[in-house]
Amino acid sequence: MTHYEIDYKKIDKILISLCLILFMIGYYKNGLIYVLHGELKFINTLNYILMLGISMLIMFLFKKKNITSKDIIKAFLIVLLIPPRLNIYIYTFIVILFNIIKKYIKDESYLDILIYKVVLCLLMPIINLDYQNIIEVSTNYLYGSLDNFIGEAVGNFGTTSILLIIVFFFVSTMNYYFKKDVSIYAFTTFIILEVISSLVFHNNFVINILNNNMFFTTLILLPRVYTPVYKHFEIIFGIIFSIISFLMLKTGIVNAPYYCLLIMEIIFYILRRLYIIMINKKYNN
Amino acid sequence: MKKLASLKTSNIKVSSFIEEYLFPQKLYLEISNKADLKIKSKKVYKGQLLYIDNNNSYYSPVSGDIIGINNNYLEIENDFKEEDNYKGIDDFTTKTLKLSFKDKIQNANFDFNKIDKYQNIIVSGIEDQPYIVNNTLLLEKYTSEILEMVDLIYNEYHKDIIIVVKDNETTLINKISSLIGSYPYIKVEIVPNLYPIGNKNILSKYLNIKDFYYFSSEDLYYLYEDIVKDRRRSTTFVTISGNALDKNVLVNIKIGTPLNEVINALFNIKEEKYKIIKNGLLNGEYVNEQLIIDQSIRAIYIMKDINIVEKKCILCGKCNNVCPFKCNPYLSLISKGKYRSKKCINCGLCTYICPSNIKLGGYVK
Repeated sequence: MTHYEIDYKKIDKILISLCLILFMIGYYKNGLIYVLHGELKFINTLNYILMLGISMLIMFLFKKKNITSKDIIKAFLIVLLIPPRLNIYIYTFIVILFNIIKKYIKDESYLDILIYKVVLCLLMPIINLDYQNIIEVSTNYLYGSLDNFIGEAVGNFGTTSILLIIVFFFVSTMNYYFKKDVSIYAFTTFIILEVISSLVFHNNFVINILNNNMFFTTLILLPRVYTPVYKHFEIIFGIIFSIISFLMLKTGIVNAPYYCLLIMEIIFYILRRLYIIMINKKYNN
Repeated sequence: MKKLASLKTSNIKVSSFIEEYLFPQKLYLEISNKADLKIKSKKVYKGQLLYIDNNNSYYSPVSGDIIGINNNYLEIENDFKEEDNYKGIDDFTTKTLKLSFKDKIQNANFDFNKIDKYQNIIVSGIEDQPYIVNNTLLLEKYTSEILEMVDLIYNEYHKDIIIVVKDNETTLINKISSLIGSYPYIKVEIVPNLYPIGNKNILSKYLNIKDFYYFSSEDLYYLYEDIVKDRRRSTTFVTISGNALDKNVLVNIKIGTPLNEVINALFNIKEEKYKIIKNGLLNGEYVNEQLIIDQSIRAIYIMKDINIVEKKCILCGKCNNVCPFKCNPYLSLISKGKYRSKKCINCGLCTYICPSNIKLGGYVK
């Protein structure tokens, strides 16, 4: 008993189950529902299952016997974060690249997932891709707040269900070192900003708050990347992330939370390095 | 001072019975080159003064023959007769009753003048480190004796006396409550089962008492034996526990006994690979079976050897959050150990809580 122990496997099993549910919701929303309505053939929906298989297979080939539950969650997230119309060949290429880089970085944080998502976001305008699926691109849907909440709105393949993202967050808090405070402060700041904005500009703040990219980044990615150790700096980090994401979203940048988080990670990395150099100079002289 | 931590303990349950190992073949007493030897012959008696080393007096735990000094240890062969020239008594005699406290403590192995400058006396019936039961069990088993010793001290020094026990020790609380009526000047304080509340500074802040002399129940029991029963200390209580053992128990052992002798006689080790830690699972020391039991050893843990892999810091900040004195263990990590807060009490909580298994402020060395 020289170290505090919790049943990580139990928590990770629940998270894997949630990832599977998110995948099934994504598969239903972007494929199966249209098959049932006769708008799409079933064979056209199999690419999502194939993508999941590719993600798992490539992960297995790279890690072999050293697969952990965290690797399985990341393999799921790789599929869940794709734009629904992403070409399977481009996807496979990016996944292989992701695993090659991951092999050399060997990081337990979700920084690799964040970088993967930012690469996808940057690629989207180049290959003329957005978050609409094959049916949504030719049809106009009017999504309400409830649609956003349960996962029917436009977004990544598998992260549109805000309800499940919130559940994912709460399950993650069972892990004692999960940094939930940075998420709470970040999200509270975002809500306050949206409320103020809605009062000033007379728009619907509920729809603006229910932004699935913002929910995913704040509740799932933000506590899992590198944030400051000291509590007050952690809170400041979360608040700054929210403010910058809010401003970028207002300029129309749909993927603002991902870009903002990566920029902040780079700045934080540089500041951390400088701090360590300064400390070592101070105490090792 | 921050909020204290509740340690997550496993299924190791220490028995409420006290076992004994009082007949070792040979005993080894640590002795330095500067020790002032008082031995006049090869034959020694139990309780006989052997040497004075570093201003501490060392008495023979058994009767027997001195073999010699090897590797800084004075070796004694036990004759198993337990003969003493420092006669012990079983009951109070009228002679002893007539002696004043100052006469009784004249030859005691403790400087009572230390108590005089404090306003309060705290008697600790708590143990901080997991699976150690010395103070708790001794206070429970020898409540009358310890209270008698407290009474003697009170009659002489008239200090406020507070007995501290943890809230999860219900048997002990009931036992003390049943006897405390005879001692109206003794107050009982119940503290939560948090770590490290046993630390004097933390206890002082929790009880809001600044000026006190700290006695453990174990200290008072030895004092009782010394002063009231006229028996020089020849044994020590050691909690021997661990998930590699078939049982976990408090053992009364002759000072100078090799640990391996005790383990072979009283225990079965269930695991092939195991580690032995002394005095604390959070901030103790790794030792081997050749360890000689002396007065400084309060607990021995025999734990299954688990390969603990140290990983990269994930910046979770738990070490800083858990530190009771805000010692900034993270700064200690990034300065590669060069920075160490003066407030650090080496409690080991930072290392205990670290998800990356990094050795921070206090840890098992």
